[in-house]
Amino acid sequence: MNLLVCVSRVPDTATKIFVGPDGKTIDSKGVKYILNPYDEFALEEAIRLKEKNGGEVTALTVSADDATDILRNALAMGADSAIFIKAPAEPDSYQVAHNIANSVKDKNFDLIFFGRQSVDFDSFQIPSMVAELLNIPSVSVVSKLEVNGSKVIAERDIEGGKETVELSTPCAISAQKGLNEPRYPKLPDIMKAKKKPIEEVAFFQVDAAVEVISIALPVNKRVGKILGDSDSDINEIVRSLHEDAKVI
Amino acid sequence: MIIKTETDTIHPYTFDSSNMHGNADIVYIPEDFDELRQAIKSCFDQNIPMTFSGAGTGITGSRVPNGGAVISTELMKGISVFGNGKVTVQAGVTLNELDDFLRPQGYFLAPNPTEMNSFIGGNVATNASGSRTFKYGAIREHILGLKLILPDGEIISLNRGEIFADSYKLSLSSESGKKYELQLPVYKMPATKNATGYFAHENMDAIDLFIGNEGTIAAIAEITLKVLPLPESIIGGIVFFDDADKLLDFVIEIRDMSLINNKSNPESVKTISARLIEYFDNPSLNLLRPKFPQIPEKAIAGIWFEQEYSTPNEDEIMGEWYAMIQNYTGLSDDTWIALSDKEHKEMAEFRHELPLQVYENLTENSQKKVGLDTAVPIEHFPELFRFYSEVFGNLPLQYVIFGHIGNSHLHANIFCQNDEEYALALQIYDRCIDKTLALSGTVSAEHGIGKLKKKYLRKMYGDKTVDDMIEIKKYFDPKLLFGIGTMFDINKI
Repeated sequence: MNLLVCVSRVPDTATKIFVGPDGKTIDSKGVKYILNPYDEFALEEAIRLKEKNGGEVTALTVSADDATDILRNALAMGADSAIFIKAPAEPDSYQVAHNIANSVKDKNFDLIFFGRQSVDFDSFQIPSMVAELLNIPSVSVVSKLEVNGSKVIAERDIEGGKETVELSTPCAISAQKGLNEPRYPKLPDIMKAKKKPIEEVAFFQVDAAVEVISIALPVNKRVGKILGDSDSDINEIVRSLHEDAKVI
Repeated sequence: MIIKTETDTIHPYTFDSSNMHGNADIVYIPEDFDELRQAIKSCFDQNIPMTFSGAGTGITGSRVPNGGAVISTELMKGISVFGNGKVTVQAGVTLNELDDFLRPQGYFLAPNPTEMNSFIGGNVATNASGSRTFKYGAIREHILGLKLILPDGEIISLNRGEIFADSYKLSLSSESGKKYELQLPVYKMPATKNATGYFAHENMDAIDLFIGNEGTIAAIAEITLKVLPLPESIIGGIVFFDDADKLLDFVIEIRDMSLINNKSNPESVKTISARLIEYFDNPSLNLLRPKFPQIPEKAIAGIWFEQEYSTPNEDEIMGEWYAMIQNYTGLSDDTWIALSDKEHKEMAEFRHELPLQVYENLTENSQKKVGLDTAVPIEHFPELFRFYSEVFGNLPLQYVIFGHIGNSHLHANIFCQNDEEYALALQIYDRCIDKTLALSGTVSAEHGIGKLKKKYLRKMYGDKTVDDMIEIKKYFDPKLLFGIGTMFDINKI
């Protein structure tokens, strides 16, 4: 099977984020970057399919920064090769989708995997856009997947339940948490990953569809009140529950 | 200062993470040094016994009060001076808070005691150690200065390297000029990590007497710590084994290499030089398996290691580890590796999950636990390790053995469902203690004596040495007000 996994380089979820001086980008100073956590489920699923059916897994990313570090992570997990498309500036979802579609359109991938979202900008758009551009079916937020030849059965989480759909390859799948338990990188695989090829592909110029006007941090509003056990504090709690919260 | 006198507000201060419970009449929570001294002085004047309280993460009951007052340092959170590889903190700063402060400035506290919510004051009181003690020693070796308060309110400030004993005679003076002349106990400490009784050594530094005093002779108010620049890169690994004998041989080989290579300049090291070597036995892996299904099925034990290195040497060092691991286990290709911060965090969670699961096992099934904290000199470790597998291999009780195998220091925890099992566990405990002492080891390598291990302190050192320690206690605390019931049996005083 010929499998592609599109991955994204995102700030570590534990990193404290600050807005850059232009008010439109995040300040990358001191930020640690990681492989997008949802992409690990996508990679794991592709690698398991390869282990079961044979074939190859290619990891691909589009990034304005050097993203070879996360591609090495993907290679250490078990991808066979990687493609790095370096963007001249922070691309929007449309530009990323166009670049993915353009670089893989002649490569005959059976399945194209994505994480259900990147945890940095949370646009949720790229899997569907790529599928549309390649004119192939897509299923998003998949939590269970079965592939038999060209038949694909995917279970997806919907509000309050599960939905099962059937489609055929080639297709695009976006992975939900719970699809599998991603493996930890193993010592021999990390050593091998250092020798696996990363192909650099030139950025395909297309205009962005959206422009970021500003980004801002949420306002931290302290809503709690700390009161003690003195009589006046107890009176204040009763008053507040009665007048402000109107629960008593 | 916050003062608590209601039973329900005092209650949280009457126990720790052992199963022990005590009682107190009042809790003082001073907010600065002067308030701490004032609380101590006022109890002294009224002859009220005082028990010092850290975060309550200890597991030998040293903060569990026997009536009287509890003095909690939880609001003493000042971090005052930082620079030149030194930081001065008040007793109530937690390891987590210190790490949050140091890390952005590129520094860390090296020994890494496991419980990050513990207070630095508590760490000093018990001479705490942790996973990185293998390379960096216990916290004692990182303490450069202490500001102490004696039971009568006298203040003693000590900096490492300033005041030494003359053989076993020590002279000190307080800030107000009061002189102290004392005879230190003459005894031989074990050649291991150790947290038993008062530190004593010929020509010792005065500061060492107060590190590990478990709140029995002086209150620890402020601590100056040596901190180190963060290493350039770290590789972590969890190696799985299918054969226990081979695991032991592996540990001995990487330990002995690391003991030599850890003395070299890290930039020049291109081979194995571990900063920590930790052990998980099969029952430990079984406790972790539900949460970590990635643990290989065939694994019967695991070793976690970490090494600091210079980035250009990464390939060579990884190659050396892989070759070494392949020599000792059929599961070499299952070795997990962490290189990025995120991966290291996941690996640390794996290690920390074990004590959490042990604790959960206890609370969920309302079991009792018997926990060993013994260490032996490294030349005797193979004998202790084989003794453990003999004793525990056929034991009809649930247990886990894990810990600091690089320091020849393992924690064996036995879980007991009923009194019968508890009695059997105590017998096993005593057999392990006897074996440890026969191998010149220590009954407590890091948890301290507290209120739970007093009889083993006597067993380890004999009556004469313990009585000499009690003389030290009486010298600084003639009214017997500090930490009563900790370290020594009150009836013996």
